[in-house]
Amino acid sequence: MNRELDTAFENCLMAMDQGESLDQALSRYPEKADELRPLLTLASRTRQFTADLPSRATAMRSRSQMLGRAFELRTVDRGPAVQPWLRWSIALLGLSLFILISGGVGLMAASAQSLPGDGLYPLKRSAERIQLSFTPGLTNRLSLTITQDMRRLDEVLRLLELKRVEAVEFEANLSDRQGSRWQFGDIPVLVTQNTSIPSGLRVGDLLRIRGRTTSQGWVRADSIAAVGLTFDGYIEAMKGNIWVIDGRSLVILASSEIDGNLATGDLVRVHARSEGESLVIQRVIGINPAATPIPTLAPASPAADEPDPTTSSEADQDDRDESGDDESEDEREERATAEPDEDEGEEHEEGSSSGEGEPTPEAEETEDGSHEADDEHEGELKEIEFNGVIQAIDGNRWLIDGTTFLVDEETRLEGDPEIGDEVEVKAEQRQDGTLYAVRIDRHD
Amino acid sequence: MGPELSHIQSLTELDPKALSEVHKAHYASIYRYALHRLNNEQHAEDASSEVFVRLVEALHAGKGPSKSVTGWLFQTASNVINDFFRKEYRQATHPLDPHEMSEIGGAQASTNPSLQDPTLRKALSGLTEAQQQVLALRFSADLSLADTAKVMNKSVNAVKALQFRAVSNLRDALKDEGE
Repeated sequence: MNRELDTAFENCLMAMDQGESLDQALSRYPEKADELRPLLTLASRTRQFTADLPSRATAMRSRSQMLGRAFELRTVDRGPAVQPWLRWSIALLGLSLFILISGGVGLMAASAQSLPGDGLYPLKRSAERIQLSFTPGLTNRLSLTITQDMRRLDEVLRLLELKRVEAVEFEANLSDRQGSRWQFGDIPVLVTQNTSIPSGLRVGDLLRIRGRTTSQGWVRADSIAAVGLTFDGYIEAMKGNIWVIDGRSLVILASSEIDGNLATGDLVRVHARSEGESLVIQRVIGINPAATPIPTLAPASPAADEPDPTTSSEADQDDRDESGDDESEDEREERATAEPDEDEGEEHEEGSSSGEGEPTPEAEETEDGSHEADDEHEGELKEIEFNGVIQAIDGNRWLIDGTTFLVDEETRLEGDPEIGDEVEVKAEQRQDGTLYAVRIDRHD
Repeated sequence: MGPELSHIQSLTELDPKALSEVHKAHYASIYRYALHRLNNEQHAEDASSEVFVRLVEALHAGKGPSKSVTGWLFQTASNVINDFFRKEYRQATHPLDPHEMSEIGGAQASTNPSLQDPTLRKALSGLTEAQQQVLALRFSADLSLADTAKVMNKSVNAVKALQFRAVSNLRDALKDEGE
């Protein structure tokens, strides 16, 4: 074996990698061609030994396993890196010092009943933070966070009862939405023209509301932001209280609602909330593709029992349009709170032209949070382009990177896309949020 | 070997995005390398998944790759595969020769047409471990000569010579098999 032959062999391999044929590669070394030819042929044959592998599904399983392990290890790190006895000793010492500094047990007890705006309220929140920082275990800390979030809701309700005007911030699920009047459980929230709202919010979403309580028993929102997320995906792994769904690791708490007997491989809809770096399952529901109604391509018609997530009624839009005139914000609020029935009457009256049970005329939210009259957008479809990997195909529902697209005979499929393929999707988003795939191209 | 150093920074924090990028960049080649050595798709899947789990655990313990992610991954893959063979060897009642080791890996029939080349598989299993390693890295994992040299801790010239010897020996073995 000499170095010349080694080098000639390697150079021919590289040339073939660049697209040259065997003969073209060998033409560089005519004197060695007879010796190199069978070796290069054998190299090509060896290359074919593992060609075209692995499948996307195999790769996704491995990725989920890796990310699941990473999540487990990250959560181990979150707790204080001390022994439990030492942790509790420090907690006790810290709490003792805290009580001493803040004037004793009576003060602590008094602060527990305090509300936003009270002098002792900052003490209450500091005590909560200390309690949280010394709580061992991820699930315990997440449970405590949720308990503290519930306490914020009680505080807001108490402020509303007392008709106090205070700055508040809380997290709650949107339970109903009637134009500018949104409902979060027992807490009514008034959305004004100045309220910052992202698009795409739906009833059921977990939202963070910042605003002020009013003497009329409302919270006037300055901003509303999504805290949680909703997505569809397959359960890839269930390891104790950590489930991997669609490549995401999610924590199950005692408060998590699990719908039915779910198992690995089931297609589910997940409502989750972010807690720090963790995603906590609020609710997970099994999806039966056959039983789930598929929206048709007929003009959009939001469900009568579920207000459209991204729109408000025309009557409410009128409210907003009016609010842009000379009327002050307080006057608008007064009108909204004092005359809700009258407003609703107007809504029915104005909406009655389309008949009872017909879709309510709608306004569309723009990126800056303002609303535009719906008649300018009636029937308009939002076009989107999307790149991702096909994770599942259930009839005409395709799950691509966690997003469900509806595919029908009108959808143009290029390159015979299958599960695991990386694809580019061109889709139309209906006003009800449904995504219809117009074209799906498989990336080569 | 890719954007190694910038990756390592984010990897030490077990950032899911950085981990996913590394997985996407290296999984296929690690899998093919494992498949070449183990001759069994299920074992190759298990072994390559184990490599990435070990990466996460090593990063968490502060013992992850310091210079080259690719090199670390393939060296770990080699260790995982050797562990697999050792385990099989311990379970066997008598010492296994390379052909039997190949049989262990390929015991379950593959559904992949490329793997249904028993003559080549048998000839490959007759090569030395270093020769099998160089062919797996070069022809299955598609590593460059330089990257193969780093993984095998050898010079580029040594790898070039080893590769040539491996293919020559493979040709001789196939001749013995009547090809």
